[in-house]
Amino acid sequence: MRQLIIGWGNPIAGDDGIGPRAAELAAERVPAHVDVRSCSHAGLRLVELMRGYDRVLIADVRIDDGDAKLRKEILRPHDEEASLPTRHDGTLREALNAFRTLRDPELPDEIVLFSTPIAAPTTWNAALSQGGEAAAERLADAVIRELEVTAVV
Amino acid sequence: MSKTVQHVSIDPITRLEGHGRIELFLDDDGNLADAFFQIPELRGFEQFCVGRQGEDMPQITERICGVCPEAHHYASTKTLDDCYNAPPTPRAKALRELLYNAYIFSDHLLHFYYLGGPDFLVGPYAPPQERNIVGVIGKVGLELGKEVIKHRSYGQKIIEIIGGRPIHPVTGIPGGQSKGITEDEQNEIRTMAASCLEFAQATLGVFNDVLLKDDTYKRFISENAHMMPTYYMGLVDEEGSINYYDGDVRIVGPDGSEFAQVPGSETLSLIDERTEPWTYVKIPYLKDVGWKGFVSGPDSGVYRVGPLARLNVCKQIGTPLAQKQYEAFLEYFGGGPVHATFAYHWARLIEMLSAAERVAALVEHPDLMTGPLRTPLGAPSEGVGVIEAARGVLLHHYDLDDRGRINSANLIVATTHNVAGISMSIKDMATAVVENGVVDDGILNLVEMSFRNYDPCLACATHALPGQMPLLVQVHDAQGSVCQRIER
Repeated sequence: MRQLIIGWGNPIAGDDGIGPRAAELAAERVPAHVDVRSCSHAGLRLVELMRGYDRVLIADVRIDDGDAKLRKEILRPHDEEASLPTRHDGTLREALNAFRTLRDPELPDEIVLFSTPIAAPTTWNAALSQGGEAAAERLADAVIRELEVTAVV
Repeated sequence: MSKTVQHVSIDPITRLEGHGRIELFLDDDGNLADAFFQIPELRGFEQFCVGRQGEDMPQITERICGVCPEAHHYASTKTLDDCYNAPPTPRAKALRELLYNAYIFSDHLLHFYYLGGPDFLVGPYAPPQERNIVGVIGKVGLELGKEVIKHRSYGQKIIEIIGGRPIHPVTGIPGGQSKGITEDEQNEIRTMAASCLEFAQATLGVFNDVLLKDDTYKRFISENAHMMPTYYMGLVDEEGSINYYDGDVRIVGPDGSEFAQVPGSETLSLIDERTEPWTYVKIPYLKDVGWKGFVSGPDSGVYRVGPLARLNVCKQIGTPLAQKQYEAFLEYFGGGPVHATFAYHWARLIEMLSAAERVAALVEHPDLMTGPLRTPLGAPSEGVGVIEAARGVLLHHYDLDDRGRINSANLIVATTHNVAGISMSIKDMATAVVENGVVDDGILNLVEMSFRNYDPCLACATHALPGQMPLLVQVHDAQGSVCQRIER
């Protein structure tokens, strides 16, 4: 099984960079055959990054909705219309549905998305908040546990 | 008697990176009184850069944008070349140009099939849920849809091979490139380039068969309401051909005569920027012509950039297949410069073909595989880098201190150059279609279509944080109360 971890977010937009930071942390703990990347793009470019993998684990943030918990969502792009409760949804849903309409065989069978709540970023900032760093560590742990569940690690 | 004004807000605009808002003001009769293109976010990116190491800028600036990281990466790298007086080696230049033309090909493909094309391939009055790539697939067929995906991935793969990563290249460094490519990679690019060239021609076939036979599109490229005789700016090489990576900045007037041609580093001497209280984006204009407001014509300093502007400033395209398409383009309009704003779509596809031709040629470039990758650096100082982003001229300007840190930075991006033109196009379209207070979804899309001609990137223009783009429309009555609300 080809698996990819994506840290999703912008590393110069404060806590929006939690996803990429989580990917960095996870990269130190995953076996060589699991790829790890970060991505600041939504929509088409993100889906293009996923093509060719069987399973994609995404570390992401969502705008604080009153639920402090780390949230896990599972998507099966071949089977269902995509709907992601994430800050970066927007064009991703449209892009996934487009690739599904094309019956693209390179689309992953499963996307597992982990999101942690943040306040909406309002400034450029290359550093995470103190809470952001801890959130990135929790996200990385969650991604690694997910790999362990499927006996890949 | 003064008229009261209704207020229609399109907020934010769909299918574009970054946030923006179109404000339409209606009079008592329900006709357009005025229109504004607003960028509501605060800038602040340049200040964020101050104190950082100059060599980090190619990685930092490409994070501004969700659309064109390649353009910022190489505008920044070229600026550092200038700051360190270190022009890239011939091999590094060939590598950069190869990557860059793959980016232009890939970005224009994206716009036609995913962003601007659905308006015409599916239809401007089609329901919004169909007016997207899924609707395009329904129109052009599954097989062509699969070719779209394949060739997008080819463009991205070429960028990854040369740029070191599939998104956000990392190999551009002051004075050169950090790595070359292997012979196997060259062969892989060669194969993909041949396929991209065929696909670019097929896409122009779709344009000719569908858009040029579509009554709405034909009307939009011929109606006076959508003609805007402005100045145009773009990069050209020493023969006057379009060059996306490098060259002189050439500006022509509304009659096509040359207004200026200067090295890219002197671009700032030609333009000035003004501020308006209703937007955070500065509005550039030609200094020697002057600001006369949001009007076109030879007495107004408003200029435009991007695919249509590039075709208007060049003397030739510089590649044989695209040259033939360019000649057909000029023949259709009875010669240049072409002022029809909706011809941006056509110009974009001619450029997509020219970029594919250049990729196929550059992969055979004699300097590509041998020679040094980097020039020794001089002492850090001030520098300017100019490049053609897919959507128009992109300029970076840095001042480095003696330790190579950023003292000051200024970025003028394509969408900023086009802000005046975009505002005027929106007003022209709204004037033509808003009547008797009727503002339905189809009309709003027509207004947005005038905007999408430019393939604008608001995240770049504002240096704002990328986010979601739902569409909210609010119609205000003369007393300011919301009397209509459309959300999608």
